[in-house]
Amino acid sequence: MAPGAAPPVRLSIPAQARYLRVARLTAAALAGDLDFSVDDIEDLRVAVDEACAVLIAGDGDDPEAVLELAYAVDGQGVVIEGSTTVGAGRAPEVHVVTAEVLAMTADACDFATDAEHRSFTLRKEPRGQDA
Amino acid sequence: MANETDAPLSITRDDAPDGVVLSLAGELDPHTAPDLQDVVEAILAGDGPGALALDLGGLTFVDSSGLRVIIAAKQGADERGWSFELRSPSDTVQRLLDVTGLTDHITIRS
Repeated sequence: MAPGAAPPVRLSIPAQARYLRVARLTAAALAGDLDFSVDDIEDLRVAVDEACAVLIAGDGDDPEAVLELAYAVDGQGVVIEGSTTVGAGRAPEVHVVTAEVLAMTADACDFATDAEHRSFTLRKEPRGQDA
Repeated sequence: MANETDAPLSITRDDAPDGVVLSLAGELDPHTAPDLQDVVEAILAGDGPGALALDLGGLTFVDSSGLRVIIAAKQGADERGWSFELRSPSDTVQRLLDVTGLTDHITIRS
Protein backbone atom coordinates (compact mmCIF):
# COMPACT_ATOMS: atom_id res chain seq x y z
CA MET A 1 0.00 0.00 0.00
CA ALA A 2 1.40 3.39 -1.02
CA PRO A 3 2.22 5.79 1.82
CA GLY A 4 -0.77 7.96 2.63
CA ALA A 5 -3.19 5.72 0.75
CA ALA A 6 -6.45 4.93 2.46
CA PRO A 7 -6.59 1.36 3.77
CA PRO A 8 -8.87 -0.98 1.84
CA VAL A 9 -12.41 -1.59 2.96
CA ARG A 10 -12.77 -5.25 3.82
CA LEU A 11 -16.04 -7.10 3.78
CA SER A 12 -16.85 -10.68 4.68
CA ILE A 13 -20.27 -11.97 3.69
CA PRO A 14 -21.86 -15.40 3.37
CA ALA A 15 -21.21 -16.76 -0.11
CA GLN A 16 -24.91 -16.67 -0.98
CA ALA A 17 -26.76 -14.69 -3.63
CA ARG A 18 -28.99 -12.97 -1.10
CA TYR A 19 -25.97 -11.07 0.25
CA LEU A 20 -24.77 -9.67 -3.06
CA ARG A 21 -26.72 -6.52 -2.21
CA VAL A 22 -24.23 -5.80 0.54
CA ALA A 23 -21.31 -6.04 -1.89
CA ARG A 24 -23.10 -3.67 -4.28
CA LEU A 25 -23.95 -1.16 -1.56
CA THR A 26 -20.35 -1.08 -0.35
CA ALA A 27 -19.04 -0.48 -3.86
CA ALA A 28 -21.50 2.36 -4.40
CA ALA A 29 -20.60 3.96 -1.09
CA LEU A 30 -16.89 3.90 -1.89
CA ALA A 31 -17.35 5.21 -5.43
CA GLY A 32 -19.61 7.96 -4.15
CA ASP A 33 -16.64 9.49 -2.39
CA LEU A 34 -14.62 9.55 -5.59
CA ASP A 35 -15.06 11.36 -8.89
CA PHE A 36 -17.52 8.76 -10.19
CA SER A 37 -20.59 9.87 -12.10
CA VAL A 38 -23.98 8.33 -11.40
CA ASP A 39 -23.51 6.07 -14.44
CA ASP A 40 -20.05 5.07 -13.25
CA ILE A 41 -21.45 4.10 -9.86
CA GLU A 42 -24.22 2.10 -11.48
CA ASP A 43 -21.67 0.32 -13.64
CA LEU A 44 -19.52 -0.48 -10.63
CA ARG A 45 -22.50 -1.90 -8.76
CA VAL A 46 -23.29 -4.18 -11.69
CA ALA A 47 -19.66 -5.17 -12.20
CA VAL A 48 -19.00 -6.16 -8.60
CA ASP A 49 -22.30 -8.01 -8.52
CA GLU A 50 -21.44 -9.96 -11.64
CA ALA A 51 -17.94 -10.84 -10.42
CA CYS A 52 -19.22 -11.98 -7.04
CA ALA A 53 -22.00 -14.02 -8.62
CA VAL A 54 -19.51 -15.85 -10.84
CA LEU A 55 -17.34 -16.59 -7.85
CA ILE A 56 -20.01 -17.99 -5.57
CA ALA A 57 -21.79 -20.07 -8.22
CA GLY A 58 -21.34 -23.66 -7.31
CA ASP A 59 -22.95 -27.04 -7.42
CA GLY A 60 -23.14 -27.40 -3.68
CA ASP A 61 -24.38 -25.22 -0.89
CA ASP A 62 -21.99 -24.76 1.95
CA PRO A 63 -23.80 -22.57 4.46
CA GLU A 64 -20.48 -21.77 6.10
CA ALA A 65 -18.77 -20.58 2.92
CA VAL A 66 -17.67 -16.97 2.97
CA LEU A 67 -16.94 -14.39 0.29
CA GLU A 68 -14.11 -12.05 1.25
CA LEU A 69 -14.00 -8.70 -0.47
CA ALA A 70 -11.46 -5.89 -0.40
CA TYR A 71 -12.28 -2.50 -1.87
CA ALA A 72 -9.36 -0.16 -2.50
CA VAL A 73 -8.87 3.20 -4.12
CA ASP A 74 -6.18 3.12 -6.80
CA GLY A 75 -5.50 6.56 -8.19
CA GLN A 76 -8.79 7.81 -9.61
CA GLY A 77 -10.34 4.39 -9.71
CA VAL A 78 -11.35 1.45 -7.62
CA VAL A 79 -9.89 -2.03 -7.36
CA ILE A 80 -12.06 -4.74 -5.84
CA GLU A 81 -10.71 -8.16 -5.00
CA GLY A 82 -12.88 -11.10 -4.10
CA SER A 83 -12.03 -14.54 -2.81
CA THR A 84 -13.98 -17.59 -1.70
CA THR A 85 -13.49 -21.28 -1.10
CA VAL A 86 -16.62 -22.07 -3.11
CA GLY A 87 -15.70 -24.08 -6.18
CA ALA A 88 -12.00 -24.06 -5.33
CA GLY A 89 -9.99 -25.87 -7.97
CA ARG A 90 -12.61 -25.35 -10.68
CA ALA A 91 -12.32 -22.52 -13.14
CA PRO A 92 -15.13 -20.00 -12.74
CA GLU A 93 -17.75 -20.28 -15.46
CA VAL A 94 -18.61 -16.97 -17.07
CA HIS A 95 -21.79 -17.01 -19.13
CA VAL A 96 -21.62 -15.10 -22.40
CA VAL A 97 -24.18 -12.57 -21.20
CA THR A 98 -22.21 -12.08 -17.99
CA ALA A 99 -19.04 -11.53 -19.99
CA GLU A 100 -20.77 -8.90 -22.13
CA VAL A 101 -22.07 -7.07 -19.08
CA LEU A 102 -18.69 -7.17 -17.37
CA ALA A 103 -16.99 -5.83 -20.48
CA MET A 104 -19.44 -2.92 -20.50
CA THR A 105 -19.25 -2.09 -16.82
CA ALA A 106 -15.65 -2.78 -15.76
CA ASP A 107 -12.29 -1.79 -17.18
CA ALA A 108 -10.92 -5.18 -16.27
CA CYS A 109 -12.07 -8.28 -14.42
CA ASP A 110 -9.81 -11.27 -14.08
CA PHE A 111 -10.76 -14.56 -12.46
CA ALA A 112 -8.39 -17.11 -10.99
CA THR A 113 -8.53 -20.36 -9.12
CA ASP A 114 -6.22 -22.54 -7.12
CA ALA A 115 -6.64 -25.58 -4.94
CA GLU A 116 -8.12 -23.59 -2.08
CA HIS A 117 -9.80 -20.49 -3.49
CA ARG A 118 -11.48 -18.85 -6.42
CA SER A 119 -10.86 -15.16 -6.81
CA PHE A 120 -11.32 -12.10 -8.95
CA THR A 121 -9.70 -8.72 -9.37
CA LEU A 122 -11.90 -5.99 -10.78
CA ARG A 123 -10.83 -2.52 -11.82
CA LYS A 124 -12.97 0.47 -12.65
CA GLU A 125 -11.97 4.03 -13.48
CA PRO A 126 -14.46 6.89 -13.72
CA ARG A 127 -15.14 7.57 -17.35
CA GLY A 128 -18.28 9.55 -18.01
CA GLN A 129 -20.08 12.72 -17.19
CA ASP A 130 -23.70 12.58 -16.09
CA ALA A 131 -26.07 13.70 -18.84
CA MET B 1 -42.23 3.42 7.40
CA ALA B 2 -40.36 0.80 5.41
CA ASN B 3 -41.31 -2.80 6.12
CA GLU B 4 -38.16 -4.64 7.16
CA THR B 5 -39.52 -7.83 5.64
CA ASP B 6 -40.10 -6.25 2.20
CA ALA B 7 -38.72 -8.55 -0.46
CA PRO B 8 -35.93 -7.06 -2.61
CA LEU B 9 -38.07 -7.74 -5.71
CA SER B 10 -41.81 -7.26 -5.98
CA ILE B 11 -43.77 -8.68 -8.88
CA THR B 12 -47.27 -7.32 -9.41
CA ARG B 13 -49.54 -9.06 -11.88
CA ASP B 14 -52.22 -7.20 -13.79
CA ASP B 15 -54.57 -9.23 -15.96
CA ALA B 16 -55.98 -6.88 -18.58
CA PRO B 17 -58.20 -7.74 -21.54
CA ASP B 18 -55.21 -7.24 -23.85
CA GLY B 19 -52.79 -9.37 -21.86
CA VAL B 20 -50.84 -9.91 -18.69
CA VAL B 21 -48.54 -7.22 -17.35
CA LEU B 22 -45.95 -8.02 -14.70
CA SER B 23 -44.72 -4.87 -13.00
CA LEU B 24 -41.33 -5.31 -11.38
CA ALA B 25 -39.95 -3.17 -8.58
CA GLY B 26 -36.69 -3.52 -6.72
CA GLU B 27 -33.64 -5.58 -7.59
CA LEU B 28 -33.43 -8.33 -10.18
CA ASP B 29 -30.30 -10.33 -9.36
CA PRO B 30 -29.27 -13.98 -8.80
CA HIS B 31 -31.27 -14.06 -5.57
CA THR B 32 -34.53 -12.78 -7.02
CA ALA B 33 -34.34 -13.83 -10.68
CA PRO B 34 -35.67 -17.35 -9.95
CA ASP B 35 -38.83 -15.81 -8.49
CA LEU B 36 -39.51 -13.94 -11.71
CA GLN B 37 -38.73 -17.05 -13.74
CA ASP B 38 -41.27 -19.06 -11.75
CA VAL B 39 -43.98 -16.46 -12.26
CA VAL B 40 -43.33 -16.17 -15.98
CA GLU B 41 -43.29 -19.93 -16.49
CA ALA B 42 -46.58 -20.29 -14.66
CA ILE B 43 -48.21 -17.66 -16.85
CA LEU B 44 -46.93 -19.16 -20.09
CA ALA B 45 -48.06 -22.62 -18.99
CA GLY B 46 -51.56 -21.32 -18.30
CA ASP B 47 -54.39 -20.22 -20.53
CA GLY B 48 -53.06 -18.92 -23.80
CA PRO B 49 -51.55 -17.95 -26.04
CA GLY B 50 -51.82 -14.36 -25.10
CA ALA B 51 -49.74 -11.26 -24.52
CA LEU B 52 -47.16 -10.87 -21.78
CA ALA B 53 -45.42 -7.64 -20.88
CA LEU B 54 -42.75 -6.97 -18.26
CA ASP B 55 -42.84 -3.44 -16.91
CA LEU B 56 -39.29 -2.70 -15.76
CA GLY B 57 -39.93 0.87 -14.65
CA GLY B 58 -39.62 0.07 -10.96
CA LEU B 59 -36.36 -1.84 -11.15
CA THR B 60 -33.44 -0.27 -9.31
CA PHE B 61 -30.97 -2.97 -10.29
CA VAL B 62 -30.59 -5.59 -13.02
CA ASP B 63 -27.68 -7.86 -13.82
CA SER B 64 -27.00 -10.68 -16.26
CA SER B 65 -29.07 -13.14 -14.23
CA GLY B 66 -32.07 -10.89 -14.75
CA LEU B 67 -31.29 -10.50 -18.42
CA ARG B 68 -31.12 -14.26 -18.79
CA VAL B 69 -34.57 -14.65 -17.24
CA ILE B 70 -35.87 -12.06 -19.70
CA ILE B 71 -34.25 -13.97 -22.58
CA ALA B 72 -35.81 -17.22 -21.33
CA ALA B 73 -39.18 -15.50 -21.03
CA LYS B 74 -38.95 -14.32 -24.61
CA GLN B 75 -38.00 -17.80 -25.80
CA GLY B 76 -40.80 -19.40 -23.82
CA ALA B 77 -43.30 -16.92 -25.18
CA ASP B 78 -42.18 -17.57 -28.74
CA GLU B 79 -42.45 -21.34 -28.27
CA ARG B 80 -46.02 -21.04 -27.01
CA GLY B 81 -47.22 -18.39 -29.43
CA TRP B 82 -47.40 -15.57 -26.88
CA SER B 83 -46.43 -12.03 -27.71
CA PHE B 84 -43.80 -10.57 -25.40
CA GLU B 85 -42.56 -7.06 -24.74
CA LEU B 86 -40.65 -5.00 -22.20
CA ARG B 87 -41.85 -1.66 -20.94
CA SER B 88 -40.27 1.40 -19.37
CA PRO B 89 -36.65 0.32 -18.87
CA SER B 90 -34.48 2.84 -17.07
CA ASP B 91 -31.45 4.26 -18.87
CA THR B 92 -29.18 1.79 -17.09
CA VAL B 93 -31.37 -1.18 -17.94
CA GLN B 94 -31.66 0.05 -21.52
CA ARG B 95 -27.86 0.10 -21.78
CA LEU B 96 -27.70 -3.50 -20.62
CA LEU B 97 -30.36 -4.49 -23.12
CA ASP B 98 -28.43 -2.71 -25.86
CA VAL B 99 -25.05 -4.27 -25.09
CA THR B 100 -26.50 -7.77 -25.03
CA GLY B 101 -28.37 -7.25 -28.30
CA LEU B 102 -31.75 -7.93 -26.77
CA THR B 103 -33.16 -4.79 -28.32
CA ASP B 104 -32.84 -6.50 -31.70
CA HIS B 105 -35.13 -9.33 -30.63
CA ILE B 106 -37.57 -7.94 -28.08
CA THR B 107 -40.14 -5.17 -28.43
CA ILE B 108 -39.38 -2.43 -25.93
CA ARG B 109 -41.82 0.37 -25.16
CA SER B 110 -40.75 3.47 -23.25
